[in-house]
Amino acid sequence: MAVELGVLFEVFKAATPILLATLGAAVGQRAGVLNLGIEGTVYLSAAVAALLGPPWGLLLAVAVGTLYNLLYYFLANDFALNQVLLGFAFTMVAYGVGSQVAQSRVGVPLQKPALYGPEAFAAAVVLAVVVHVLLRTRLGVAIKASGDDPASLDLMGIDVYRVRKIAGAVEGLLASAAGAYLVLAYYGSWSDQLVMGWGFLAVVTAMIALWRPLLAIAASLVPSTFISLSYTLQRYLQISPHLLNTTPYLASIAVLVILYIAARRGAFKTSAPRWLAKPYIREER
Amino acid sequence: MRLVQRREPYPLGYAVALAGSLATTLAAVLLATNRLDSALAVLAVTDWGFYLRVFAVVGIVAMSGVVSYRAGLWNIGQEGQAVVGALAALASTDPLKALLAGFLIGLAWALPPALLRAFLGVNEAVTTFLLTFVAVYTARYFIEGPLRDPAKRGFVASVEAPHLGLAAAVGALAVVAIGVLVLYKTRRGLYLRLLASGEEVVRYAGASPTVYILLGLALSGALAGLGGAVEISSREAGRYMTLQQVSTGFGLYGISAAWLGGLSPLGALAASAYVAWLYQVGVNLKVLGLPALVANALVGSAMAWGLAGYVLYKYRVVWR
Repeated sequence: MAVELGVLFEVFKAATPILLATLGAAVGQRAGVLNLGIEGTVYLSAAVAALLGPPWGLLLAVAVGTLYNLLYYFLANDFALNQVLLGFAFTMVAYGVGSQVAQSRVGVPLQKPALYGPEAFAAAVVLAVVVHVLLRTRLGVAIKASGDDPASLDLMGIDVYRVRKIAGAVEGLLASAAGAYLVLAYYGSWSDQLVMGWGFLAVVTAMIALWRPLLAIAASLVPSTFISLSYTLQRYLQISPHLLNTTPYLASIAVLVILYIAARRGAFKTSAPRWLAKPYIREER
Repeated sequence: MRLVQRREPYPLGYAVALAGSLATTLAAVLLATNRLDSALAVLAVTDWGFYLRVFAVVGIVAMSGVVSYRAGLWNIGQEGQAVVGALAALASTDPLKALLAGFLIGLAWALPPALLRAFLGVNEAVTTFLLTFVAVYTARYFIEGPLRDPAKRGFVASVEAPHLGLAAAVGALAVVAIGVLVLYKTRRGLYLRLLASGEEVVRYAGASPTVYILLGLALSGALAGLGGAVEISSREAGRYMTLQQVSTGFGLYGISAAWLGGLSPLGALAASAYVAWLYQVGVNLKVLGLPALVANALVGSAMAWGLAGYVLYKYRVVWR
């Protein structure tokens, strides 16, 4: 029983950063931007947080991460660089810059922030409700329209690029909070490799959540369950830990595929943003 | 600021991109070294044999990028495909078999995302990149388990790959480049490029988009796998993997070269020469004690410039 409770605690601990980044990715993708660079935002903000430690590291991490994400949105939308590949490039640049920034902090134990464990997950759930409400406001409707039909939004006199940059700022805020949480609360120390892959999982969980903030709460438990299990099971099973480490990624893909098949059979209506990953160029509308 | 479509494409856009990337690299190197003479030393190629080897590998992976992106398919899992390609080379006995195995295993690694995209419409960018992480962990499993070299006591490393000469590595790139050029002259190659204009276009042309989605992604994965096999077996020494050294970064290098080269096979070859030089700069920086990932930042920015080159090729930027 004690073991099961321990696992449950770990699941919520791992679900917090994923939920935060997933909410960000959901807002961004709703606006029509498939930002793979969110991985870079998470990594870079984690590096900054590791460098300074709480509380200033936390604030600076969020500021740096948000600005980095905004730069991506500017280049991918105003300047119409390919969204998918620019995101990949932003991830690689962040890996490089982040590992340099936090080089002096490798292996140094960090001070824990005020909020971690299940309480932090509860806070993230509250944020999910906030994002849910946000998507129902006038701004939220504009964000959703920018992902579904930016030309019409533009014809209504609303600046699509500005709406997308607002979505990008929200996404960056949430993703950098996830990065700071990861390094300060989840791992408690920094190493080059640790924070890799988390932001990317969030891109997928946002899709699993069908881009809905409230469903994201449940979707974030998919990878986090497997992440926690892969640690716990290492003690009991004779399977290579490396193979167990692949399960969060494979499970996320599997759940995504099952959802696609179910949607195809008409089990539910997908609300996939119709302009996801397509550039909106005003002159071509 | 807005983008206005050009009547005529503007090839100089790529020259602007190259200049931008060069300026970024120089600024970053100066910032990292702080001194002019050590900066110049960092920018020099020290070993031309090494440089040519890197050029061959970057070129092959760049062709993988060209095949995919020219078809409007977003395979960004070249890194993972190269890792499993290198694993296949480790398990092979002679260099020719190593290349063939790398090609086939890269193809197999790209097949699930290809099938998911073709039949269910699952975004291939997401699946191919997620499989990169899976590839790295799978490689670590093989290094520790089935492919571990028992002769290296107290040191976890894989068995060695068969040795492939430098001439053979460059020859492999030549074969791949000519192969892609010839493919683009055929009817199948034309359909593959038409796919970028939309699945309906291929259907109106009388071909099945499903077939060409599968073909494009599988071929792209196969070339990346081949690139990984060439990379590990053309090394002068240390043709093995350790737990820490699985990923080589060549996936990123190849993708950047594909975009800087304007997604044309010949342009990508020229850009590979530039990106191989960036790799050398990254190695020189590492010697100075900077983290290995710093080189990624340089190449990542080169890639962003390549994407900008593509936009400048098609559009005029009006600041107003």
